[in-house]
Amino acid sequence: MSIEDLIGRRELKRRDLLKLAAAATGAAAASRLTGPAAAAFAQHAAGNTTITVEALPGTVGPMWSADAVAWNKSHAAGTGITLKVRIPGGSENDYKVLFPHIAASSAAPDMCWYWFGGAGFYNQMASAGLFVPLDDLYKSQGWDHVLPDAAVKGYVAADGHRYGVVDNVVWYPQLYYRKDAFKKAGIKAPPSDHPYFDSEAEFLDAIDRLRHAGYDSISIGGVNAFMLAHVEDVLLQRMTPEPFVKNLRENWLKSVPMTYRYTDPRWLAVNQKMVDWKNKGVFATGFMGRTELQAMQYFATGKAALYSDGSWASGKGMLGGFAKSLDFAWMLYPKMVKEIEPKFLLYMGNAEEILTHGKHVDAAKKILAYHMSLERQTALARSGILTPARLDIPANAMKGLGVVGYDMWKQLGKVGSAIGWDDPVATKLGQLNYTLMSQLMAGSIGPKDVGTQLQTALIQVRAGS
Amino acid sequence: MNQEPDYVNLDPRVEPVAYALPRNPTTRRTARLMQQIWKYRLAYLFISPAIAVVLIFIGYPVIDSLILSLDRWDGLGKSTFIGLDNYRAMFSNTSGLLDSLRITVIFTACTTLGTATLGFFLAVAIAERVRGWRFFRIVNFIPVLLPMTVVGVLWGMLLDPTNGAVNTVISSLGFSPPLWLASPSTALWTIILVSIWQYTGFPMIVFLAAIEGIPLELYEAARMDGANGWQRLRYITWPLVQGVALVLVMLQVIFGMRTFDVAWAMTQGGPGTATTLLGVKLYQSAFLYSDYGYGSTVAVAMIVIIGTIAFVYLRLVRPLVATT
Repeated sequence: MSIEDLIGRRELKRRDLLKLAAAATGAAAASRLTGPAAAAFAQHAAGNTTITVEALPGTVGPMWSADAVAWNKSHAAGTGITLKVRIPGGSENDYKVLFPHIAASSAAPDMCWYWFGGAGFYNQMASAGLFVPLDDLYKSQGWDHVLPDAAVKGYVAADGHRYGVVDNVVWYPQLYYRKDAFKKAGIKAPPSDHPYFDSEAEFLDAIDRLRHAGYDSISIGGVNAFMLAHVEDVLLQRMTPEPFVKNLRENWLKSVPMTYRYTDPRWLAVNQKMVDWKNKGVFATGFMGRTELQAMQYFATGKAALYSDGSWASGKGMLGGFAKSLDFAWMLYPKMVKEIEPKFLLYMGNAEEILTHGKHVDAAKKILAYHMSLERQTALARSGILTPARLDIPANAMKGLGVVGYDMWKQLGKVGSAIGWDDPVATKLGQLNYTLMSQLMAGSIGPKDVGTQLQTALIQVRAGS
Repeated sequence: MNQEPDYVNLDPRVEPVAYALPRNPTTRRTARLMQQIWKYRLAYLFISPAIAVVLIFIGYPVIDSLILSLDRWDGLGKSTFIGLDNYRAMFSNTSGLLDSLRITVIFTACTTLGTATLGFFLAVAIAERVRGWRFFRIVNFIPVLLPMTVVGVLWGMLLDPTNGAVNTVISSLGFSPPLWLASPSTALWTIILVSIWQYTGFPMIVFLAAIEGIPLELYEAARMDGANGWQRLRYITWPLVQGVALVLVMLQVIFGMRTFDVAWAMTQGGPGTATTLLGVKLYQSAFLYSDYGYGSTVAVAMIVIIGTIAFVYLRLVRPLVATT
């Protein structure tokens, strides 16, 4: 039986088909006209432009939201530009891996926050032509003179252009400790101007005493493997000479000689130390089953005496905010060898970019200039959300970072800083290392496996595969 | 000499020219297909949107994945053809694919068995109208409606090794609690338990519908013949829902083999690689390493594995389904 039989031999006439086709075309046209492109057209015609910035959830989102409130209140009417912030859901790593595809699509925002260097996919995005060069803004806004040298010089793309600007700096990882736990365990905490134990033995002794006092040791979110990689990074600074780390940080580039390898005993010793620390109970029970947030909660609720995380964790959006009653302070991971002084690991890759797929490049540049202005960077410091990158912020504004944040910031210059391996290294190596760190700490592979796999990946990256 | 006609008339009721088919077998098949399409043209017109959707959203990605699996591509720049290199890498010792396959098979077998068995017995209990059956029906189905991310966060907190409610209870009873998600030896079993908890409601509802479709007369007759509860279950209920069970198992196996969300939400594949299911492996390869060629290779492997399992299973159970 044919379909004609089923529908009672009614005929679909050509005229009806044409009517249907016309209706479908009309609906499609209406949908197009009411879509985002039409909205942008209508706004432009009315002299109003909306700039959308996409920002990482967590602390970057609130920073941009504060800018949007300030801009829309005082500048939107005069300039005809409205600022809108888009904060996607998901974790930091989701943003890292998924945003490049949004940036390459027709749904790209006008601006974004994205990591400089190898930590994310900045290099690939720049090569794919997704970023607008910001050289003119560097010149007109004087960013060359008000931003840290490393941030200005370190991120010039291979074609000589600068495609992003650093708006905040972070340092990682610190040990946040509960003052009540230290008091109960009878431990004298290191002073701020010398913020670390002078030997591993002293550090391990403190851990033992804290455990005897009824506290769990260092709470860390092992589910987020980058937290483990940060500890590895800090041990690299403490246990190996700077030229060694520097070469490994840069030798994925063909132009840099492969002087050192990941199978070097010094690299393996760092990984072995991670395993030793795990076996000695340096990290809290069950740390491999906790996320960053759960680890923070474990510390804030008084179960763990210490919490390992970056400078962002001390801000109002995190520890400083949800645990107002918590009396905590900070210190650095200990000195491991006599010859090497511990330093802060500074990261200056938190950057803002303008996207070529965005629709309003000139308006976006105005917004970016505003975002990086002394006024907004000072406001950022006062808000305590993040540490602004500009060096000309009034010192009293920096007190907005909170007692702990301000104290760390003051010590940055005195204690000194170094650049870690984890962030500037090629994406493939960094991401592989996260997986390997998780496997190492789970006990499924050993330090030698980590070294061998990283070395294999290094050779592949250098070969361009 | 009698010359054979070029066309064979298959339908003597109509004019030879209208339904004539060529003698060449291939041309004949094509002509027959064209005739069928023309005959049911309106039906084809109606199903063409559905076919277009399938081709665009399933056919094209599958073919594109196959092509991409022969390339190296970071997702943004130009792709480079590298032949079978990705397949060689996948079958190398360090790729971890076999380990992921082993983990996925364990996960699939356990969740399928767990959800189907529990779902069946819950459905039987509800069909028997045990006390509180309405409550059980709703409560057991609610987890199916919850988003996996919510389930992941919820169970992550409940199963926190030292801070979670589950271990607090276990400790208070004087037992040594497991580390659940924090240990490579227990993490896989933990996500299996959570999956069973979440998805048992689906087979339960399907079994319940099948059981409630069985004529009551059969049970009444069995009762009159002196059959007890177990005998009624064994000789009436089970044979009549067996066909449904076989289809359900097929579906659960497919769901299990392509699972990603529960492992990613709860452990991100860890600790180490303890919960790196094939779906997680694919995500890690494509997105975390920005290696879309290799990620596509894993996707192709998944299609082949799941397709083979489905094909073999269907061949095995088709006679059983037909008889039930």
